[in-house]
Amino acid sequence: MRKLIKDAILKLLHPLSPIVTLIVGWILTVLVTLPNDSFPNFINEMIEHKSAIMTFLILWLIFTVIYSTLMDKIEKLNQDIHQAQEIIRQKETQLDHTSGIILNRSGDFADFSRLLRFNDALKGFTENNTIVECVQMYSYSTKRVNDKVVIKVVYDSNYCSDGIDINNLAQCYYDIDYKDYNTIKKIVSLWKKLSSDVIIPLPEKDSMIRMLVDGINDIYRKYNNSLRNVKNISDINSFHFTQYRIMTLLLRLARRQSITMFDKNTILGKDKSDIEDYLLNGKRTGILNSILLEDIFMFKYTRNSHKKDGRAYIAFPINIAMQNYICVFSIQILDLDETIDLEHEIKSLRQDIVKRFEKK
Amino acid sequence: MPDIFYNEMDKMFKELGIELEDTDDKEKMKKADNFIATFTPDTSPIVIE
Repeated sequence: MRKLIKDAILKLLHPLSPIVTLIVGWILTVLVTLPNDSFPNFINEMIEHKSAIMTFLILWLIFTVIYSTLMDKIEKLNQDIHQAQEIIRQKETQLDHTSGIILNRSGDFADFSRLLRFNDALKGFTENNTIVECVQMYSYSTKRVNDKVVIKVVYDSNYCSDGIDINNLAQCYYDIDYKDYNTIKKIVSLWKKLSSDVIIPLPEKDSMIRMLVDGINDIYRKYNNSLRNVKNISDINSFHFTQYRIMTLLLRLARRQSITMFDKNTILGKDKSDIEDYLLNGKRTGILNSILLEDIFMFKYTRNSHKKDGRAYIAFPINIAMQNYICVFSIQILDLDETIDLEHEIKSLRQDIVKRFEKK
Repeated sequence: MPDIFYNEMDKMFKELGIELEDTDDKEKMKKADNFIATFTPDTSPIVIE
């Protein structure tokens, strides 16, 4: 509204506007008119002072010329400003596009820099620990999808000693029933609390033991039934692999000593040895137990077709810069001294690599 | 971990006909084709900022 009024006033006061032209025309008629008593006094005054009117008209002419010239310049400047604004807009769009590319590239550089730092730590760890053959890093994420939990594991980086033949897991998914997943997490939490040195009041401790026993019983028996009902190897699906691996985790938690040995006849029985053999070797699920346990899980699986003799794997979770990783390193157990404290040795190795990551 | 827990678990394995062999003996461990091991759990997760 204000702009409208301003524009109207500017148009009205333009030296060549109809109103101003009309007024100037009227003044010109005054120049050629003789005084008359019937005219108002100011008109008679004007007629008598023609030189003043002439001066006014000359000033009006000069003003009109100056005004028109300046207005042309202003108009041209406005056009230049408009063009400049248009160029700025185009440059801004180009800048946004370029900065997007730069940001993208800086993400790539950050990723590359992280990989270099990881590789340095992995290399230092492998080269400075005689029994370590190879170390691998996997990132992982856990997502609920409808009634199941999907754990996605993606290969990130590795370092191997010379002459070591080892295969990496490129990418893998583990499917677990959502309710079972929650029960397993509860079992792990109870097991950790009861295994710690924290003093728990006796009634509470009894209740926790009962819950732990019931939890393991429920899941173990459920999975045992599920896997014993598998008739053929071709019927085995992704859930069966994780069920089998979780059974090995549960039986490990339920044992007095640190190491449990087993073969393809141990868990499902001799009549299901073919099924168990496939569950044991058909899919790499060793690191799943470390993810679920959120702690060190050591394993040795000797595939019938690919004997690796004394190689055992140690997996443990580590969170680096808010990303979950599983670090897996392999050791040559034939090199282990009988007098060595295995737990102390494994935890020292873990501490070594953690320190290397912290220094990077 | 209280012994009562292991006793309860032993009952479950016996009922299911599962015979497991545990060891802390490294020679047995070296000879085993397959084994799994866990240790005293950590009190807190490993986090690097």
